[in-house]
Amino acid sequence: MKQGKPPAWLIPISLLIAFVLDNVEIPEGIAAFRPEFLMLTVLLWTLLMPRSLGLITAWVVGLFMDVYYGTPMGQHALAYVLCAFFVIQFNEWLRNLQPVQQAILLLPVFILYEFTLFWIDGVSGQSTDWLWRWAPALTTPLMWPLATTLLDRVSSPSREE
Amino acid sequence: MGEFESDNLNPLFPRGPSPGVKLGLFIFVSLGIMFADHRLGMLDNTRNILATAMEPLNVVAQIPEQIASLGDYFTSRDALLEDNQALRRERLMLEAELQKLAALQAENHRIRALLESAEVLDEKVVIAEISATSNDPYRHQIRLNKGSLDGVFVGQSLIDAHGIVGQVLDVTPVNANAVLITDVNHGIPVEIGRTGLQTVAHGEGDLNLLQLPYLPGNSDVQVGDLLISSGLGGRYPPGYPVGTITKVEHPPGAHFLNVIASPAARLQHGREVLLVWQRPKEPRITDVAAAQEPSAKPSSQ
Repeated sequence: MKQGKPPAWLIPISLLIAFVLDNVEIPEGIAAFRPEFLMLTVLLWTLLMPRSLGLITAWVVGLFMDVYYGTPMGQHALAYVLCAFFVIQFNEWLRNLQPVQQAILLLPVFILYEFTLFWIDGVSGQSTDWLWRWAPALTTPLMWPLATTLLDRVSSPSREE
Repeated sequence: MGEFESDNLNPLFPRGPSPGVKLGLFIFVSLGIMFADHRLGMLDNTRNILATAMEPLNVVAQIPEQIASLGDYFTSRDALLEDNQALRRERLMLEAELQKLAALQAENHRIRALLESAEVLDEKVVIAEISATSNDPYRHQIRLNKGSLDGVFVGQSLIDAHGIVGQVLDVTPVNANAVLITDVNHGIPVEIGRTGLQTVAHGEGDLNLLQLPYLPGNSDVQVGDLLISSGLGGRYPPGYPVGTITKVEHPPGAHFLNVIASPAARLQHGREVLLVWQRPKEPRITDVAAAQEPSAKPSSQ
């Protein structure tokens, strides 16, 4: 993952796929545990290309999610931009780690994401379900190694290690 | 590998503000627009424009569902399915007409029906399909495939064959978002069909529950009472079923009863709802008054 620069067309495609995964209907029993696919994808790209995809991208994606989910405008935008900031700050350090290690170190970032949403929900008087808010903070890092591996495969299929 | 180094951070000659300053700016802007949007409601137009720009995403979001339903296209029963659909819609329309009759009957039980006979339940309805539902259990919202081009407007009521479903929250040219009556932030003015008692039914975040928190301990409420929309507040058309009372409890020492109702509309079933356009009320009452006192205002003739 450290070697190749993934093709640019992969960025919008992967964001779209993540968006669909976020919204496809799944059985109610497991829906609370659905990872935050789009957030994960944005962070993944921020880690890979911190200069071309930085705070602005994260903020804009978040803003669109606010419009899509009907939340107060700025809620997801703020959560996205905070997470992207930490990924950019610890970028060089994170990049040299194994995906599993990255996932563990990113756990606080995912918790921060859910906490930001949770906090703004509280301020704006929107009640939320405990499980629905915090379960994704744990399941999203579980998807991280899978996502990095997948991205690696797709972006450099012919690469010989 | 060298050419990718340009994507690293900490270049030799950094340009622009530092990341911390940028983050501060984003936080400030986010909090600012949140305040403007949520507290001041200044960004409704912006939201509608962005929502319109996001229309293609709605199409993309529905791809898995459409693939899942692809099988329908390959069956030889195409025509039958179509007929079935058309008939079902027709039936939905008819049932909507029927529930107005039920509501009128409830009104008849009370003497007030005499006074309210001028009230006509005469609305125009159009079928809309539910194209998506909210994943978040605390936001009971649905997306409809009709928008401002079809005449949908913010605050418009939705019903189904059994009762009131909710109201439209925001509208793009081809889509609309609606909130269900069971949403925690939603309340609907209702009256109890048997007694005419006025109150408000709140959502509880549960699709099968409505709560009536403002009924004093001595109110005449019974399990099985029908709740119908009262039309107070001007949002919902009066006379449609809203729910049935399933539990009445008087907690010792409490001022208010703990009253629970189950919504009449089948909120979890079916993919279609009816959008209601209320016709402007005809000035019947004033007509009656004018007929009774023809000499009072000859100039109005």
